Amino acid sequence: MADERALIRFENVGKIYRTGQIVYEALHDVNLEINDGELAVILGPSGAGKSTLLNLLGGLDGATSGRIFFGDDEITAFDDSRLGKFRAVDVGIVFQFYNLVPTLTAIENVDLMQDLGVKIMNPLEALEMVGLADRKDNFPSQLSGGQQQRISIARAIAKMPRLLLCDEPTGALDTNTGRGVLKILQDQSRVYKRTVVMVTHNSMFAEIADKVIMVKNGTVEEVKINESPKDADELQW
Amino acid sequence: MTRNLRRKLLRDLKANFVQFLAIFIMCFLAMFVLEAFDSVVTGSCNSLDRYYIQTDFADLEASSEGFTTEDLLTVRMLPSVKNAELRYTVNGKARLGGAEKKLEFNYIDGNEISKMLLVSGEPYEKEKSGIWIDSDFAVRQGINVGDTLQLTCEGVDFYETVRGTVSNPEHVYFLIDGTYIEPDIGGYGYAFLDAGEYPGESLLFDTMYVDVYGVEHQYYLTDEEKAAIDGCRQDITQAISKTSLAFTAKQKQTGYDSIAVDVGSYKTLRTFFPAIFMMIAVLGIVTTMTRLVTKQRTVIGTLKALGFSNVVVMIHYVSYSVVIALTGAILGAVAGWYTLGASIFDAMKAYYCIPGYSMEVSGTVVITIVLIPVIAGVTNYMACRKLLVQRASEILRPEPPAVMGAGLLEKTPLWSKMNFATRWNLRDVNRNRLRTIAAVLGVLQCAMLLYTAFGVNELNKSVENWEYSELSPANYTVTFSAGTDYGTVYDYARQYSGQMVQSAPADLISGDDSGLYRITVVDEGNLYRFQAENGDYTKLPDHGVAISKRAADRFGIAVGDTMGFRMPPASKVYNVKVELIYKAPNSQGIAMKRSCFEELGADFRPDTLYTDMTVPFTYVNDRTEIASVFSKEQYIRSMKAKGASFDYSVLYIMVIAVAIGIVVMYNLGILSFIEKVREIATLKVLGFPTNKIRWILQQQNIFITGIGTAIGLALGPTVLEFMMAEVDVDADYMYSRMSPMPYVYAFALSFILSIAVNSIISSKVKDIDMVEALKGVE
Repeated sequence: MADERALIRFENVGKIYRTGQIVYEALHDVNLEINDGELAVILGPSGAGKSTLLNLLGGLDGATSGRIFFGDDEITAFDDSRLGKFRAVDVGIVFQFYNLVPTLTAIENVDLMQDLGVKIMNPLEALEMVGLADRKDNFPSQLSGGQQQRISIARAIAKMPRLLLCDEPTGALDTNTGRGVLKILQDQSRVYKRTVVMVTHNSMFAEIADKVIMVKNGTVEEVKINESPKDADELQW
Repeated sequence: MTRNLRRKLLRDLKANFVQFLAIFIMCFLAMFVLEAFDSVVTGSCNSLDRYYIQTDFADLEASSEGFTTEDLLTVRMLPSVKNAELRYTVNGKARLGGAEKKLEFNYIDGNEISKMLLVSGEPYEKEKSGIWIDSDFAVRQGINVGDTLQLTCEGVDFYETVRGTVSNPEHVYFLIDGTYIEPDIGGYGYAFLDAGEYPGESLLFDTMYVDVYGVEHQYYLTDEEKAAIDGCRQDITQAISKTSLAFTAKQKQTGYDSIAVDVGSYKTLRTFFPAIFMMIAVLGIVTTMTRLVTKQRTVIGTLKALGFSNVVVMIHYVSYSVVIALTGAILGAVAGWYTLGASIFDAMKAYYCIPGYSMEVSGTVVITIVLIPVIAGVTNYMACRKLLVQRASEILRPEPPAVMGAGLLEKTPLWSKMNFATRWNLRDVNRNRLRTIAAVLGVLQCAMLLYTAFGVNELNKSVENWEYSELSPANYTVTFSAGTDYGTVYDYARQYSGQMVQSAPADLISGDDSGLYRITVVDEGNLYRFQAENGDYTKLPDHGVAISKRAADRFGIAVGDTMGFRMPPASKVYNVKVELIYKAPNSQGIAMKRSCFEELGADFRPDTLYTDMTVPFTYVNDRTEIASVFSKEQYIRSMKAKGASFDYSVLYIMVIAVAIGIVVMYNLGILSFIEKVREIATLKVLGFPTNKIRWILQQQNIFITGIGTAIGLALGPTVLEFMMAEVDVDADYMYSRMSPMPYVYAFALSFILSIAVNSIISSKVKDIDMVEALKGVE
């Protein structure tokens, strides 16, 4: 029986990659639910299928079998154009390696979302939220890794998406910078009531999550509800 | 395109400045050359078209010692004749401000064929008094409509009022007499008067202008039209019996033929070189744009992941190359028009008088300007499409390195004996075949065109020596007026110890094939010589005929074959055996000894005298039997002046070939370098000294340059011969005597350029930041 609060629902989802003769089953028989406004952490070792799960969730990739729901909509039934609209309106993505457009400044990278025809908050406001308003005119190459990741978050939250997906958002950052990034993401869930799904291999991050989804060998091994998640500021790793 | 993507576009152009500049330059230069020549060719053809149609340019000119009104009526009645008119042309003088100026008088009985075109004043009417004068002459000499001129014609002084200033299609290229070897527009002139104004006792028309059925008046003649003209010529020959009847078909009229040769030359340049430059430009665009799009893989993936539609991303990337290629093509066309094109056009205008003569833009140029960005856009579209058909997650994954199997060479024992540098370079070449092919082609065209340009220069220089030192070494050439009898020419030959030669148009016939060439009949002497194909002097055969190499090639004739010839307007065909093939720079056709000619039953009627003795130039004015007197120096000067514009064009092409070569080498070199930065950084980390790494890069460059140069130089002679044959169908060159210098220059320049460009690129090796270069995702 599906939880009525669930924003995301995976039903028997499988994903197979084929490269020539090689067939690789990245996910099989995945069933999970993530509620609206929840901060969910998908945890697992390298190669477990975490990023694949996130890609399916964000509509960056298509499932080989099963169904994925976003609210009442079945993402797996979307065509390419509808998927593009879904990504543009409902999903904000934060990449491990930031993926900023190198020839646009910080504020332009955020403002880029406006080019999608999506209503966004003032780009400067988004930069203020991540504490980088003073670096608005810098190009990505003039910023540190942490700063680039915060710009990436600003870009993702500027359009006020219902779902924020983060793929190893602190993977390329040092501890202090990483903690700052996690704080911003946690606030998105706690303060702005957005659903945040974060993929990581770092088990320490489970402590700040409302829900922890353990993935191993291409399937969900365990789902844990964290009754009293820690503040990101308290994390040590 | 949206605001931020527009910004991205501009900044990407800036960030990849060298690559985009290379594409811009290649498009610019290709269009520069095309438009420079095309504007002149199109302008000339269209201007002539309009002029000839407007003035009903004569399809056929018949000349004789005298045409009667009955002759005219007879010809007009012929079914192949649409219309005919009579004219008498004679040189005289006009006294202007105390000085005498040469003026050609044309007494006409109508103004329907090759008619004068009124520039100012009142139009001609039959039996109207007054004179209609050459507009260029009027402008330069300050003559106005209404002025009364004092004129002298055939020794008679008379006065006429200027009724109008005119231009005339028969005078597009106009030399008034044999004292001029090139036109002096406005320095002398021509004039039209009604036949009733003839100041002498009785007027005898010497030319009949014929408008032939089935022939339009436009510039280019179709084969059917040429056949119709030939048919009409035969009809007239049969209809009126004149011993001295001679014909000049439209395409052989001096003005027409002269400009046709020049336009033909530029047409060859217009077609040939831009095609090569365009091919290189397209290849450069494909190579560069494909790589630039591939380099932006992550950005494309990110845009797609963020929700940008495929169409938006596609338009953004396609616009990169379209903007650059379109800008380059348009600016190239504009620059070509205003620089090289304008300069060639000015040279043409100095020779040819065509009202409303202008440069023009052709449909070909417009289509090419559109086509270049389309090709560039399609290239980007294909490269983008290859990525965008994938899911966003796939695009965001780095492209796996191409799996390359071991090549054949790697399986041989030789491979293990090769040093690291050779193996590294061979594998790089194998992995980047398209880039390597583009680089080879860039060097190839550079070497090939350099050879061609140096070759043209050498051939043109050698023609001067060949023609005026070896074949016709005489210091003076005297030509006699039409109809001068043998005795008069013989007397001059004795007085000046000269050699008599008869040169006339001849229809050469081989089987069913025939073509209009020239026959040269040579009397005893050593001032008019012949050379065999290998350049050795040879004597004309005692029996039979000699044929020039180009004519022999045209008919597929070999020594021992029998062929026919006919000297128009006579219809008698002489069958002769070919005993020799000779090489001649100009005037292709057949040649024979006077004795052989007379053995055939033909009359030897010499029209030219070659002599080493000094002949006074004043003879042209003083003696009616002499049409021209030219010294060897005058001929050489004229040849240089006439060829200067073409040589200048070839020089331009050579510079452009070098420029394109440099751009291609630099662009592909930089691309290659960027792709290898990580490998080079790794070599640096491993301890390879900078110079050793630079030498490894230079080795690959030398290898590519070697292949490109070798193929380019191998193709060079074929390209040179093809081009020269297209430029002037009546010209031939002594290719066998060419020195190795064009090879040496082309080889040396190609290598110097290539090595210099590579040295500039490889100088960046020392600046590579090893830590930065090795950062990032594999």
